[in-house]
Amino acid sequence: MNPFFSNRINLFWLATVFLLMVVNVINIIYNTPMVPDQEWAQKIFYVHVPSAWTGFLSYFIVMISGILFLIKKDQKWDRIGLAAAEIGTLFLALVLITGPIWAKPIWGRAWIWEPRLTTTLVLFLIYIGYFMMRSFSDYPERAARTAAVLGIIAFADIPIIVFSVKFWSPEIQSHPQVEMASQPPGILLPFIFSITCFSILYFLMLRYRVHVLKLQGR
Amino acid sequence: MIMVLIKKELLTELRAKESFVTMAAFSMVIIVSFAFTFISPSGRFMEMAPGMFWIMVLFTSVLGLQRSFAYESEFDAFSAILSAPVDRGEIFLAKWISGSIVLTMVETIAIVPFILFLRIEIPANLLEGIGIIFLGNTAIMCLGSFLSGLAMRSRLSNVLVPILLFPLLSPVIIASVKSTTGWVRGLPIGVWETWVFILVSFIVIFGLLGYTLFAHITEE
Amino acid sequence: MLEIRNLKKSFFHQPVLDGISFSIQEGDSVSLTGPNGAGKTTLLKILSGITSKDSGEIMQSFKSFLYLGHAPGIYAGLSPVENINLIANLHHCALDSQRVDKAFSDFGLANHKYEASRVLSQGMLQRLKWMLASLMDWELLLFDEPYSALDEEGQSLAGTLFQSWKGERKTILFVDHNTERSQKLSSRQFILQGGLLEEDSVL
Repeated sequence: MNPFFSNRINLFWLATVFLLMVVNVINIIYNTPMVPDQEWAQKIFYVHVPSAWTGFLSYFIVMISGILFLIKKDQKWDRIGLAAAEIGTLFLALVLITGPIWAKPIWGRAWIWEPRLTTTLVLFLIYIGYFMMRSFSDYPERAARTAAVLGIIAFADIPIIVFSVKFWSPEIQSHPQVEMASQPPGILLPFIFSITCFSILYFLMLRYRVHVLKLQGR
Repeated sequence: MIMVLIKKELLTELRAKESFVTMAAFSMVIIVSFAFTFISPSGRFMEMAPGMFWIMVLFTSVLGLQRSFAYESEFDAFSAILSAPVDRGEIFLAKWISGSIVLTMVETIAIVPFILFLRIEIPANLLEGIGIIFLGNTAIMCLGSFLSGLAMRSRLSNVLVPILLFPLLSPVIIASVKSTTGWVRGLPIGVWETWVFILVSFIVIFGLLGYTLFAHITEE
Repeated sequence: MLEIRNLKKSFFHQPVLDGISFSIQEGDSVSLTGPNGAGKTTLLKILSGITSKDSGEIMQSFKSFLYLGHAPGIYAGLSPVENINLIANLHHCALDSQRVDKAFSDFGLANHKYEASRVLSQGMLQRLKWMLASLMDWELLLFDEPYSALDEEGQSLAGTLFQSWKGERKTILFVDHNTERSQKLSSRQFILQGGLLEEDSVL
């Protein structure tokens, strides 16, 4: 028995996300224009950037729920924080996998210390520490408090990491994703569509994970 | 009250000398290892010196933090501080300040073999260098003290602190090495002042966060 | 006055304190008993601010309290006299050095005054706690197992001290496993069991 998806609203969103994702993938493969010089490699951006967006959004939610947990001491915020941390790390792992897949044919090397990827890697490592801290804590109620504090600390570090990494290797250019906005609508619209799909998928995953954590009695 | 706490930290360290001795000994070991791994017996290594210096500082600071918080765990001495009418933020500040003092003392000793064994030329503008090292130490010890407090009641806290600390400190590592490099090369301060700015903002942000959030992590 | 309302604390999602309420008036000496793992130490640690509570209210009108836990609660590397001065400083309490000297000889610790506390035996560390309590100004004393590890001489020293505190109508909350002794010492008896606290009013 799965009470989460026996709820009609949740079932509706599951079906919607599934449908949207199928449309999204087909759209990316058949419908988006080929960018000169990059050809198929460029298409990974429709997955790479939305993953990064959801990942960072997720860590933002970790911080917000951390603050709320410290103020309200309600276990609900700990569950949301933990779920967001898990899913955020999952999406950032996706970013770290898709980045080199794109970089290999375009830059000739799978990894160069591109600022945004470097920031992602550092955050990914911080969150590995976060999960270790949670599991090695002396008892779960205290783990909730340390995790809330760590989520705040980690997010506060992001702007400083971004800034320092950018100046650390100024010779390495960022991906062309900032210029995405000025791209022809042939690229921009599918991109916005993909980000929307990922965001809806993310919130459904978050809701589901929070539900499971609650059932586990956390 | 904060003076009482800092005095306590330094007195415990003075009696036991555990942090100081382990840190100083460990820096020597690191210096010799650097010599074996990065240096040919005839070469000079100014290019790598800033990086090696900060790696040394980072590793030794972790040892110092471990000892400093081990004093609190033995005999559950920390409960005496927690049950006293002491602001929790001040406990953090005392750990931070005293930790930076001990780290600076260790560096003062370790810098001699560092210069001697790695054949470093002493750059001009010593005051600038001292300023950079002061900022780097302060930044490392700020987050280091905070995370050690966070991890002190976990199992494996000795392992957790460096695993959490090093990635969180990445801006500090980059900024310290870059500004030290600028100084060692004798570049004008305008070229590397961005890095000083990063160090200062890191100290301000995490100093304030640490002071406010420490109360939430000290309790069992 | 110390008043607790609906205090809750869980470890590993198991409630240890499951909604405890009580109040203590000035001059009460309260013993807290209960089986192992009932949460006696946890309750004392929450009252002294070492452990956080999950929910509930703690209201108190005492100006100062002293917590003496099960562990020595002092810096092992510092000497007893340094520890005493440190803790007094932390509690904003000025100690007269002659009084401290006298206390050290009264409690038979004069020879160990300047040694690292690490070398002291369990019994000596326990005496040190009693000595600390005798030197400091406090209105409420939270004492976890005050009699553990004390020899006969130490017990009689402690007994005299306890009676003098009762004479001064000082407020004490202590944990003791010896029912007979705790009934003799206390004016009220609390029993903590199954996460709940009851006052034993049989006497």
